[in-house]
Amino acid sequence: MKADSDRNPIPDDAGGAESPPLIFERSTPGARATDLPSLDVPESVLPAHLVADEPPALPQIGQVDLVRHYTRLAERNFSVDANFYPLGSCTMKYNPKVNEQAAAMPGFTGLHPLQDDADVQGALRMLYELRLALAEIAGLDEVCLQPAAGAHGEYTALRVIRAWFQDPEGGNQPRRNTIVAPDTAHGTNPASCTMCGAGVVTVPSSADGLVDLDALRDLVDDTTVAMMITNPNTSGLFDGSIGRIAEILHDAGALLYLDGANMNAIVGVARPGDFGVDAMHYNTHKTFSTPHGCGGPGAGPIAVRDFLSPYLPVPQVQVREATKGVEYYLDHDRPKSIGKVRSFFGQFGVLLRCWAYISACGPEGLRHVAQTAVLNANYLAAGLRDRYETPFFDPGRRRFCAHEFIAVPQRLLDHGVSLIDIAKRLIDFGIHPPTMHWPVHNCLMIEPTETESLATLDRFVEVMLRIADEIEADAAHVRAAPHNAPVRRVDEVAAARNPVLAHEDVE
Amino acid sequence: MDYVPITESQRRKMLDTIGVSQTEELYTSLSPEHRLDRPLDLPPALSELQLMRTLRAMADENRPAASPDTAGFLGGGAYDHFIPAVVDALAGQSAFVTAYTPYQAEASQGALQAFFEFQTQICRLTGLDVANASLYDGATATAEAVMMALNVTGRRRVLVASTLHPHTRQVLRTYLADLPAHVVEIPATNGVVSVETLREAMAAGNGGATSADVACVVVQSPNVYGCIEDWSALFAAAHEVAGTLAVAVINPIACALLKTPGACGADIAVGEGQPLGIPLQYGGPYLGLLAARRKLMRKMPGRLIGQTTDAQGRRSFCLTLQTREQHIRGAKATSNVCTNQGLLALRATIYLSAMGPEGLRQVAEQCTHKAHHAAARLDAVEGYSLAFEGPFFHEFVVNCPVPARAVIDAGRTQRIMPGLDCGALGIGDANQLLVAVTENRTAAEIDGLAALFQQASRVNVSSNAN
Repeated sequence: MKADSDRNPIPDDAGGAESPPLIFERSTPGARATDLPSLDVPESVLPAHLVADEPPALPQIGQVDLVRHYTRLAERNFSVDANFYPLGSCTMKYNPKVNEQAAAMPGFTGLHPLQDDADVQGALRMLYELRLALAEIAGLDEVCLQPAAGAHGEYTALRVIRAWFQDPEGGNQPRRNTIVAPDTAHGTNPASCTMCGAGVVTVPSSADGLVDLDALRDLVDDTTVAMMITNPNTSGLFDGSIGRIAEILHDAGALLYLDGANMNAIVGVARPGDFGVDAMHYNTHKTFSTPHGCGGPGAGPIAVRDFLSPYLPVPQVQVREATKGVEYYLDHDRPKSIGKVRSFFGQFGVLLRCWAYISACGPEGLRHVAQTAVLNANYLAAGLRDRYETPFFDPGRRRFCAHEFIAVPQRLLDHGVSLIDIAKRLIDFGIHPPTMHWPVHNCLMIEPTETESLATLDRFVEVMLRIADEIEADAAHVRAAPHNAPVRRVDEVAAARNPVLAHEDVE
Repeated sequence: MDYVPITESQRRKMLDTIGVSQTEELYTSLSPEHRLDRPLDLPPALSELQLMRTLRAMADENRPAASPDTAGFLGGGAYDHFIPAVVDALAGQSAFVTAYTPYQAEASQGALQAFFEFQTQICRLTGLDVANASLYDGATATAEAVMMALNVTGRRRVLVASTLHPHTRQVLRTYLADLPAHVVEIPATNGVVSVETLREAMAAGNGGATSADVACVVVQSPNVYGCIEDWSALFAAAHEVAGTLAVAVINPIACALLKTPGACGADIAVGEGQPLGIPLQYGGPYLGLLAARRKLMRKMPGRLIGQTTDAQGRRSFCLTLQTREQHIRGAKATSNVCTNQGLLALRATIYLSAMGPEGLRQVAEQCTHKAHHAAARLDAVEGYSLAFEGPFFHEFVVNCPVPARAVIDAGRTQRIMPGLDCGALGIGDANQLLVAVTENRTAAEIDGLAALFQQASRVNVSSNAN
């Protein structure tokens, strides 16, 4: 239904065409959504000069209107529970419900982070078991569970590596100060280098999308701290030269760091420690199914070789013999540690879901996950390649992708559409757009994950082919997409030009 | 259960379509020497029923501080507050829980609008102009604010109140260790920092004259002892050196009662958002808050949501000013942060909307009244005294006639967790206990706490006599 242009549109409350009001615009003076028991102790008075005259201008709203507001907002959001997300490098797999139920148990949610270790033995046992499991999956010796997200894991691991180099009893080469990253690296890699005070050197990719080994040899020297590599890389290719890459780094006295964003392709199939990696991070919200929550929380545990473990952040979860069996404890006594990287221990609720996922999958399940993720990506690539060119996928020449692949639909773009147009048209079909323009310009990066059914994969191919037809028949229709979303194309340029970052009440 | 829905016959059909006979062939570039030739050494898969049994057993091994049968007086940066049912019900909607980062605005208007509301609420709580859409936690948010100040000012010295939470001070030390910056702690007197010691610390770097190399002054209030710092006076002193930024570390509940950081002259406010509807859950995931004056907007870390319009002129929202961020700017980004604490920010948004201005003020007032009542009761027990005299919010330090550990242990049988051992936390000695009292504690529980204190000192006297 179109709004009558002669009248002001009525702000929409129930799913129609108009944008819903802000919570502040629903405010009614005096309305309350909840209450507290009356005060059962005497009142006390704080010095007047410290106290604000007025409480903050928060919305005042009754409970049912509060509920409808955020229910209505939820209806205006894509999610894995409702939509397919073939979002390359983000591994938007299904998030098991049992993990949510587990994390909501009062025996976990009610734990204060500074309680005595004796009161939290179940929690510490879970963390200890997860520590061991993640070390085994990585093929590395020691794990720190604390980092809050992948980027935080990168930062933590780089600080650990630098601390080892700075230690006269460790690597003892304090002047090493540059980190090598491929031109296809996640943006977090160079940003993490900067945060730990290191310079970044970019190594180019070869024509086949892999690390250019000659260029790497030229770049690596006695100032190199480490190389950060994603493998399979962000073009969806497992770099078979990884052994030689590790050799080049190690021969120069530098270390190899793995950005574990793409672990979903190899979990249970290959272990980073076995192909030369010295340190890595996981993204539990990718590989291990913890929900993304509109952008967080995640968790970014890191795994390292033995010689790096003394430098890991405090505290570390440990186990020791006790009078009755064993007891778990947090070890703060780590003299070579880089210190703390966050408050308390870590993203406990996220790590619990991660533990539950690994426990449900088991060793065979994890391998099956990786193999199916790779199968699904190759299946989609095979279905799309006639219309969406796949530069690195060519089954005739035995060139396959890992768990994701890039498509560069140049013939379609020549019809005068952009990738954004294709992406927004996908929204009309209830499919979240793939990653775009990354790692190279004009590419779609597609990652189906292993948790999608064949029907969903087939439908995606069908929709993509339909969009290709549409572009050839009526490019303007695609350029005007989305047509069926809660809003039409959003003006992001205007948002950046004149930033409005908070609501101001209009009297 | 590995949550893979593809059947064996479908797998064969898919392999046919690709043109291979088995999945292993797809790993062409993975050389045999790099493959794992055995199953991972992990426990066998658990069925859903077994998994829940195991997890329930694990949960039962814990003794949660926030529990109907326990009176918990633990604080130290994480607090047991009332969480209305609407928070779980609404933030638990799978359309929020299982959504991706809202880069695709048209598919994410719900999350974007909620985060825009969040940013607005945090601005109103802090009295500042712009807030980001969250960081990891209070400690890392403080580190980000300090790095922002170093970046904005080009200076190298960071003055930090010694009354800042020790975790925050430790995280700051870690974050600045490899950067051209150094931290100087401002000593405290009677549980707070004074304007005089701040001025001395500012001048110390430059042969007695007030130094111009101070990037920022960081003061937490209520501080780690629960004492309320005089932000207005301290930040005025900080601003005596032009360009120095004042960073306020907040407790968001206290912001509903006390003068806001903005009103006290802060340029940046950061803090731990856990008290805003987030369960204790053993320390995480929590919520890092960061707000600032508008002039600092382009130097802020993390995601920002902006208001705009769609092609039909309807109000819409999108991520904005992304050229600050790592995915665009790489090594020159304001921070490496990517994943944030979106779902926790949503919880805080719903919590703040549910409480409203009066409700949140009431929470803050009840915390204050109950904490002061408890402090008076405990101070009256023979042998115990309050460590500091100044005004405090909902947490305070008690000097005990016995080790704090003895009081804590005495509470076990009565299901009272009387507070935190200041010695173990690194903020005092082993005879000091940090006691936090939120609106969740009752007068009867406070009576129980006072009785426990009395008993704990007696137990100690008799054991000394042996």
